[in-house]
Parts: sequence; structure tokens; C-alpha cells
Amino acid sequence: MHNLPMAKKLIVVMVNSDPGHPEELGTPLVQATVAAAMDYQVEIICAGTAGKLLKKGVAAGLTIKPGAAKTVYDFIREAHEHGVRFYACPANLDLFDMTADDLIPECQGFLGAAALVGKIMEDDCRVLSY
Amino acid sequence: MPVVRGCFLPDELLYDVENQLWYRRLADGLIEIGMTSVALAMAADLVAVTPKRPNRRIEGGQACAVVETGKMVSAARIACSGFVERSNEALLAEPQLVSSDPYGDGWLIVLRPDDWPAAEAKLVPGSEVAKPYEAKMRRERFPGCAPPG
Repeated sequence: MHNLPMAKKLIVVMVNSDPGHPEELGTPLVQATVAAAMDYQVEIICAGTAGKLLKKGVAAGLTIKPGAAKTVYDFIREAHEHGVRFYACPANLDLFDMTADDLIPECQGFLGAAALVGKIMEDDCRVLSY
Repeated sequence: MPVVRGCFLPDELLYDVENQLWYRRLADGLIEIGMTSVALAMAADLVAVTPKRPNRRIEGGQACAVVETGKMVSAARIACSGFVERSNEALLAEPQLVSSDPYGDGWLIVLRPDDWPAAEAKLVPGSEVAKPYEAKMRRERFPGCAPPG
């Protein structure tokens, strides 16, 4: 049996989690929140269609379950309060005609493809992708 | 046994009121840790309880368990560092145990503390816990625990 060291970092890559299908958004956000509550270092990178979530007003207008009081933005804020760091893909600005000022305050900044790959290849990191 | 706003808090335990955890020293010197009935009444809509797995170190202030409810995720943070000797794996299949028997079968972990006397000094004995708990409930506008049944 191998005794592998415990990973300390979790990177959640949200690419195909479509704000047009909000039921897809709960799982990555809750798993990231739980991981942060378990004292892991957690980062979420929103790219592709999921990049829209980081635009002000988008997540606040969505609920995972129709009619629920808790919005997707509430899930993002809860994750952030537990220490999850959110990053936007820089290419999303052009893709969705946004500027940095359009991003929600919970977004820590930008993480390009090379920086993301660099983080993922570190020994103490695990990745979930959605 | 102190009863604060309908919530039972056994005399023989020690409490971390802010983090809503109880501590019990076992005969072998290990420390059993669980959540108070107040924490569970505040949580409501319990979905999952995941205690820290055994054979791992845990530092003071870190989570010894994560509680998921329909509304939120919260970490049960412990007052002292140590080594997790046992973990209540029954909670994975039956999280409601923490509500139905919070001071018995609903325990979270058993810890081998690094420095129990130092940790113990920070905890509140059951005989003195009513006042700080009443203050916490008032601060958080918690009406009280529902009567059993």
C-alpha cells in the first residue's frame, strides 16, 4: 500500500457549468465550500460558459432550484466566506464583452491558462472539473 | 443538567461555547468531541455530517467536522491541536445521530490532544455554561431548542 501525502490544495475548474442550466451550478460551488471548510486551500477558476457567473448581477439572478430563496450568488458568497478564491479566465472578458469592473467583488483576479496548468501540476494539488 | 432555552447541556462536559462543541475526557486520557444540541437546533435541515478521518493531525482552530444543511455549510472548529484517533463513521450513513443523540452516539471524533491542560483551561465547565450560552443565544437571536418529539 502506498502512503501518498495528503494534498492541501483543490482547484475547481468550472468550464461547462452553464448559467443557462442553474441546476449544474450547485455541485461545484458546494463541494468547493465544503473543501474550504475542511481547511483545504480552494480555488475556483471560471472559464468558458461558466465565466458569465463572475459578471455582476448574473449569479444574483439565478437560483439552483426554481423559487428557492438562496441565489447562486449566495452560494458564491458563502464559498468566499469560507476562504474559496475565485478567478476569472482573462479570455472571458473579450468573450462576454466585459471589463474587469464588471466582475463581482468575490473574484480575486485573473488566472490564465499557463498559470492554471502550473498550479495543477504541483504535487500537493487535486483538481475537480465541471 | 443546565437547560438553556430548552437546550440540554450536560454538567459533566466541557464546552467551547463560540464553536458549539463539547469535550469529554475518556478513561484512557483521550478526548471525545461532539456538537451541542444548540448547534444542531440552529443548523436545522441537516444534510450531512463529515467528521475528520482518523490517523490525521488537526491543529487548534481547524475543522474536526463539516456540517452541511439545506441552507449552509459550516465547520466545527476545535480548541486544541492533536491527533485524530477515532472518527464516528456512522455519521456518514446516519447524520441525524448528531441530533437524536448529540452527547452519545452522535459524537464526532476522539482526539489525542497535544496539551490537554492548556486546552481545558480555555473551555467552560458544564456547571458554568448556562450564562455564556444564554448570552450567545441572545446575541444570535436564537429562540431555543424545540421540545423533543
